[in-house]
Amino acid sequence: MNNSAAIIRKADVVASVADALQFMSYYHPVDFIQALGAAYAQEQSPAAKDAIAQILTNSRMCAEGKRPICQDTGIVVAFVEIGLQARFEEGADIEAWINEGVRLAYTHLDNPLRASIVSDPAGKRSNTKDNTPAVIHTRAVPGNQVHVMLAAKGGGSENKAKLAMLNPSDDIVEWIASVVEDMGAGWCPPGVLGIGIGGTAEKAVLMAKQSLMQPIDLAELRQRGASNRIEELRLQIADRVNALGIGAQGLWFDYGIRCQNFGLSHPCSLTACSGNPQLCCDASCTL
Amino acid sequence: MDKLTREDIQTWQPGETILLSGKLLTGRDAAHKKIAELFAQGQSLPAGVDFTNRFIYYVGPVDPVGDEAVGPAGPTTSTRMDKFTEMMLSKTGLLGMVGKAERGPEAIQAIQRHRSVYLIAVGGAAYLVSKAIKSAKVLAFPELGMEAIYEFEVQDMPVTVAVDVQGNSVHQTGPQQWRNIKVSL
Repeated sequence: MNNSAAIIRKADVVASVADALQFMSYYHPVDFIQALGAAYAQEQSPAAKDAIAQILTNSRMCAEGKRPICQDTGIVVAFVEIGLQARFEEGADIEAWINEGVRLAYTHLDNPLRASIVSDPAGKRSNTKDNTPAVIHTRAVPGNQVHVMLAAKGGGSENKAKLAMLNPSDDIVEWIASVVEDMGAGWCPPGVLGIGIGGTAEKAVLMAKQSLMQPIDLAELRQRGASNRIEELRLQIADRVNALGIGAQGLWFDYGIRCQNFGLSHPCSLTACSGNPQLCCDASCTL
Repeated sequence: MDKLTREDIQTWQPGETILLSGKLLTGRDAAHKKIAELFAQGQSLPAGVDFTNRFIYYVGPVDPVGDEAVGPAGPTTSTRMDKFTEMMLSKTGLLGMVGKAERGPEAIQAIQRHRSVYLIAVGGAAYLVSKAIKSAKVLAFPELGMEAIYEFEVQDMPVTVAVDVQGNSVHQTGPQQWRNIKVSL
């Protein structure tokens, strides 16, 4: 039995979360930039081309200036996997540690981020001033490691999340197309759609959100061709949605989507977004 | 913008790109709600806040750092302010609005009725947009934090006309034009 696992300390978790959130605020992931560059090259509408150009220029300025890509620096969503053999220092409280990291990142002196969270949402709606609390999803898993995956999810895209309970004979692709059409441009297309299919209502939405965290590889998929039902569905949805002609900033767009299937019934949810790819709008479809 | 009149904006065409210079007022959900409450109580706008012949920019900016006038300040989704549009256009002398995304039918009708315009800035280019903002000060509702009413002085802020005085919306005509053009990525 291996008992040499390092002890996980508060200081390390807090610093890692804070550093990650700062990093995310001013750097787009490379796959997003490449996808956007490809979209720019293929885009035919001048207005949409201009919008993509502004987004790419902005991205570079933010990487150089270390300032946020978007004024909406998001709600923090954390996916945490805690290994059951992991060891923690005395008095461990992983949620409190994560929130402390959020607090530090959002009140950073050189790069303050926007505090967008209110307490008492159905009542006073007072800004919490440090962007806490984060939304934290935790799983207990085998092993001795702790993994934390973070997203800073923008409100524009989050507001577009949709869930539906479909019948087995319903057409998923058509449902998604109708949802995307109604979503309009508030989620800053071009962006990423995350789709969750299956399980239960809340599982579908969670899967959709998680699917946004995966690499953007629609172009590669198209080149190599679909090898299973999910990949077929991805391509069908991409074609169907791109044909809507909605576009960059509502003027024309292409987007990459990922979709996970899971179970037998049909909840479907959807999220998307572009300013910060982790802020993608999830359309989660749970099937 | 400081000398813009209603007559000037009558000729602006949907899809036209414009560089704005001059003073803008800002506000989003919470500020509009407060204004609605003031009017409902028979009160007027807070001292120092006058929308007559001005544009409003729907934004909740990041706080500035160093020598920035304001941190990243891209537009927020205008559709959420649709229900306040008639009030703003009829009661405050507001000339036009800047935001992102499409307006709904309620807002488009109000824009038509008052011969106003709606302009869009690019969401996702917030830092770039903030470079056009030369000064920023809070005019009202400081307790709302980023949702306060600010006055921004801008120079060459790039925007596109999204809804003209006749209610033509690029978010309707754009997709119609580009629908079904096949793109493979």
